[in-house]
Amino acid sequence: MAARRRPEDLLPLKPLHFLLLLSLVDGYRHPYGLKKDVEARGDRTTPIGPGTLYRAMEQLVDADLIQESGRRPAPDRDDERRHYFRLTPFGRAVVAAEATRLAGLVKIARSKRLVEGPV
Amino acid sequence: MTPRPSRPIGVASRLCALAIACYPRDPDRARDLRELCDDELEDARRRRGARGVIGSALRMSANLVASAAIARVRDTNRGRHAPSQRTHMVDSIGHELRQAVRSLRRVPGFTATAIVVLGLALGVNVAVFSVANALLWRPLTSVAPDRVVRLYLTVSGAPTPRLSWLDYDDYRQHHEAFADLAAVNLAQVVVDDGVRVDQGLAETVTGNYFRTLGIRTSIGRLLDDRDEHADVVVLSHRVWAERFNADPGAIGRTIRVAGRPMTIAGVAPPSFTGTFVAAPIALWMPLRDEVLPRGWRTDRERSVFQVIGRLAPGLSRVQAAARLDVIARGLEHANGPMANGVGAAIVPGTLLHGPQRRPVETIFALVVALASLVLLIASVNLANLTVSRATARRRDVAVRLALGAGRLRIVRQMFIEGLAVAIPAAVLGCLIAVWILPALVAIRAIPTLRFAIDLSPDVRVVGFVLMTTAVAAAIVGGLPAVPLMRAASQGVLKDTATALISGAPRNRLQTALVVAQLAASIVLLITASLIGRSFLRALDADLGFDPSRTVAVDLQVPATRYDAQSGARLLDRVVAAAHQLPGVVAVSLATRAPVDISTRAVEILVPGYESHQDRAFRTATYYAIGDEYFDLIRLPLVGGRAFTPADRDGSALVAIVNETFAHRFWPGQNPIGRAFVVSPDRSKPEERVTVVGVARDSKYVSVGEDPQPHVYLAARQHYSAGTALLVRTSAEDRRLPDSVQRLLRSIDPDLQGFFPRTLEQHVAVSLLPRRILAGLAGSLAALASLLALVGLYAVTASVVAQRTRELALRLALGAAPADLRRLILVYALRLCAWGTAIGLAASFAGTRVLSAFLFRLSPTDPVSFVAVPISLAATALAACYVPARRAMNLDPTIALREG
Repeated sequence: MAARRRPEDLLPLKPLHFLLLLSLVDGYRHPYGLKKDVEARGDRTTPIGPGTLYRAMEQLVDADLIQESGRRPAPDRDDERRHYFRLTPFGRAVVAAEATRLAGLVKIARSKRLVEGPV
Repeated sequence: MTPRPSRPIGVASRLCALAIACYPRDPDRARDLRELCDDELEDARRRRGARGVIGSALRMSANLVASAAIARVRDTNRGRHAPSQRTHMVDSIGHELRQAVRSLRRVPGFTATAIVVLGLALGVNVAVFSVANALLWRPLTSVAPDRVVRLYLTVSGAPTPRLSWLDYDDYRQHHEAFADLAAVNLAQVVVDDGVRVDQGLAETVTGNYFRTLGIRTSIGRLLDDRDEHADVVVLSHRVWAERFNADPGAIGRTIRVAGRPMTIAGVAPPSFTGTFVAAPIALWMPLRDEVLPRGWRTDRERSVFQVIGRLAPGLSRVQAAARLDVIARGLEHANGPMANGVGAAIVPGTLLHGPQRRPVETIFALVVALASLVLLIASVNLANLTVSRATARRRDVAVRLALGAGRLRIVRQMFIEGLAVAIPAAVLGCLIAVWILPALVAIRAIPTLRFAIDLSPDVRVVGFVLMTTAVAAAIVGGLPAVPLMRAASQGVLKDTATALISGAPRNRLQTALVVAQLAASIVLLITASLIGRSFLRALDADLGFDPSRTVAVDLQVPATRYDAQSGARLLDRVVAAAHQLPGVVAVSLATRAPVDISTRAVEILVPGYESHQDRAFRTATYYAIGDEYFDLIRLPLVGGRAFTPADRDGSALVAIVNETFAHRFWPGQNPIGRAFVVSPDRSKPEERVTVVGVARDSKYVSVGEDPQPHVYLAARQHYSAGTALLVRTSAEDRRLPDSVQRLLRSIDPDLQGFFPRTLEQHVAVSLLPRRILAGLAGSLAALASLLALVGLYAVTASVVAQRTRELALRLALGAAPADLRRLILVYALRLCAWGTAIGLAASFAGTRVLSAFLFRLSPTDPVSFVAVPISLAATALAACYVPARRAMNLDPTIALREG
C-alpha cells in the first residue's frame, strides 16, 4: 500500500486542474458545466477543447481528487445520461492547500507593490 | 419529443464522432466525449448560428485528435512503464507542443503569415480532393458500400452499363450471385403540385431499389416491392424542403407526375441524391410507361436501365463474377443466337462509372497534381522562412546534442513545431474549403440545370486532411532541421563573421529552396498558360454553323398516348405552330441540338467497306433533322439539296452526309446518288439510304473534336419520341423560351420543352470542363507564383540583412549605391534564372502529358515557354526592388557601427 499522501505533495497544481477543483467546491457539477464555469472566469482566452477537459478530469480522478457523484439534481432538471462529479475530501484538502500557496505568493507580490491591496 | 438536430449540427456532430473514434476503444469515454461535444455544438448554434457550429466542430475535432494521440501513447505505456515514467513521456510531448506554441506566439507576424499561407494551400487541396472524392470514389450508399455493385453487360467483350428490362429480368432471378438486384432509369418529368408546374429529373425504379441500397427513410416510407404497380412517389429532401417547406403534412398529398396523379409516400434522407452522378433528382417513382420508351418491357434492344445489385452474403466480388459467367452462359442457351457473345460484369458501386469515368479521372489527376505542387511550394516557402529565423537555434541545438540529447528527439521536436503551424493551418484550410466548395459546384452548365453533388466530408477526406497536414508539418519542421543538425554536429559554435563570408550552409539551403519554388512555379504557370490558351482557341473554334439567336428545347412525346404516326403528326403541328411565333425565321426538329455530348453513333455499311477492319469505317455520328435545319443553323450545303416535304415516311429513304464522310468513302467522286446501309435503331431492320446532299463539315459531339464522318437522316422518315426543337428568330428574344412552352401546352397540356437554352449556351456546355480547368489551373498558378515570389523577396531581404556589414564596407570603400542595387538584383535574377532553367526543363519533359487537354495547341507552345519566364523574371525584379533599394540606401557609418 502506498505511503499516505499529503496535499502538499501534489502542489503546484496545473492551472486547469486548480480551476476545475475550484468550481467543484460549491458542489457537484457535470463536465460541460465545469467547462463553462472555467471559461467564464475569463482565465482562458480560447475555449477548452473536449479532449483537454476530459484528460484533465481523468487525471483528477486518477489522483483521487474528484469522483462521480451519487447525488443528482431534481428529476425535472436532471438528464439521466449525464455524469456528475464532486470533490473528494482529499481533493478539497489539495485545492485548499493550493489556494493557500497562491495567496502566499500574492502577499509577496503585494509587498513589492506589484499588486494593489493590503499587504 | 426531442427536436431533430439541424443539418449543420448533424454534420458537425459526425465530424466530432470521427475524431473521437481516434481514441483507443472505450465506450464510456466515447460517450462522455460525445456528450461534451453535443452540448458545445448546441451552445454554439444558439450563440453564433451555423458558422459557429462549424468553427466549434473544427476546433474540437483538432483538440480531440491531438488528445487521442496522447491517450494512445499513455495507454500503450501503461503496461510497460511505471506510472511516473508514463506521465513523463506524455508530459514530454505535451511539453514540446506547449514550447512550440509559445515560441510561435513570440513571432505573431511570422506565425500569422505561415498559417495563412499554408492554410490557403491546404484549403485548395482539400477542396479539390473533396470534389474528386464526391465524383470518383463516393459509393452509392453508406450501408456496407463494398457490397453494392453495378451490373454491366458485355457485348463481344465490350462492357455496356445499360441493360434492357428483359436482360435485367434474366439476372434478377439468380439469387446465387445477388441478394437483391434493382433497375433504375433516369427520366425528365413534369411535376405539378397544383400550385406550380416544374420540370425535373426523376429516377424510375424497381420496388427493391431502396432496399438494395440500404437507404432508410427520413419521413414517411420509401418504395418497396408492393409499389411496382402503385401510384406513389418518394420526394428528394431538396424538393420537399423547397416546394413543401419541409412540411411533414406533405406525406399523403397528391401531385401529378408526367400527367399521372401520384401520392407522396415519403421523403428520402438528405444525404441521398440518387445513383446518377451530379443529377439533381427530384423524386423516385415506380416504373411507368409514361416515362419509359415504348416497348421497354418486351424489346431486348431497348437498353434503358442501369442495374445495381447487393452481393449475396459471404460472396466476394471475384466469386460473384465467376457465378455471373455461369449464369450468362446459361442465358445464351436459353435466349438463342441474339445473346451470343453477351456476358455480364461487375463494376464497383460508385456514383461515377463507365465511360464517363476516364475523362473525369484524367482531369482530376491533373488538378490534384497541380494543387499538390502548390502545397509543396507553400510548405517549402515556410520552411525557408523558418530557416531564416532559426539562426539562434543553432547554438541551442549544438548544446543539446553535446549534452547527449538524441537526434531523434530533436527531429521529433522540430516535427512538433511544424505541427504547431500545420494544425491551425489545416483548420483554416478546412474553413476555406468549406467556403469555396459551394461556389465551385454552383457552376451551372445551363440556367435550368444545376448539379447536385454531396460534398460532405467522409473518412477519405478526413484522412486526406490528416495526411497533408502531416506532410506539411514534416516539410515545415523537418527541412530547417537539416542545416541545424549538420552544422551542430560539426561542433559549430562559430562566429557570425566567418559564416558571413563563407556563405553559411543555411544560405545554400535557402537558395536551393527558393530555386525549387521558382522552378515549380514555372511549371505551374506554363501549364496554366497552355490550358488557358487552349481554352481560348476552343472558344474561337469554327463550329461550321451559327448558333446565335436560336433557342433549343428537348421534347418528349408521351409514349402512352402517341405512336409513331400520331407522334409524327403532333410534331408537325408543333413545328407549324412555332413558325407563327413573332420574329421566328426558321424552325426545325433534330434528334440532338448540334454539338451534344450524347450524340449517337450509327452503324453504317458502305459498299466496298463492309468488312473494313477499322471501326471508324463502319460507324458515323448522326442526327435526324427537319427540312429547315441547314438554313436554321446557317450550315451550308456544298452539294445536292436539303430534305423536303417529299422525303416522308413511305417514300424512298434519303440521307445527307458531310464532307468528311464523302471524302472518306468516295474520294474524288460525286457522292450524290450513292447508296449505303444504315441502322439507326437496333430494334428495326437496317435501311438502305441514298445520298441527296453533302453538308459542310461541322462539330457534332464536342467543340474540340477532330473532323469525323456524319450522317443526316430525315426526321419524317425516322420518328423519335425524344427530339430537340430548334427555333431561330430574327433578333434576340428573351421571352422566346416561355412562348415556346405556352405553345407546346396549347397543343397538348402534357407536352413540355425541357431544359430551354440558347444554342450558344448549349455549345458552351461542351466547353465547360475546359473552362473550369482553365480557371482552376490559372488560380493555382497565380497562387503558387505569388508564394514563390514572396519567398524570393524574403530570401533576398534576408541576404541583404545578413550582408549589411559587407555591403556597408563596400560603400565605405567607394562603391556606388547603384552598384549595390545591381549586385542584389543580379543575385535575385540568378536565382530566377536557375529556377527558370529547371522549370523549363521539367515543363518540356512533363507537358507531353497535357496533349490530351490541349485544343490545337502544341504542348511545347513557344509563346507559353517564352512569355512565362519573361513575365516571372520581370515580376521577380519588381519583388526584389525593395531589398535592393534598402541596400542602396545603407548609411555606411551606421551600418558598420551596428555590425
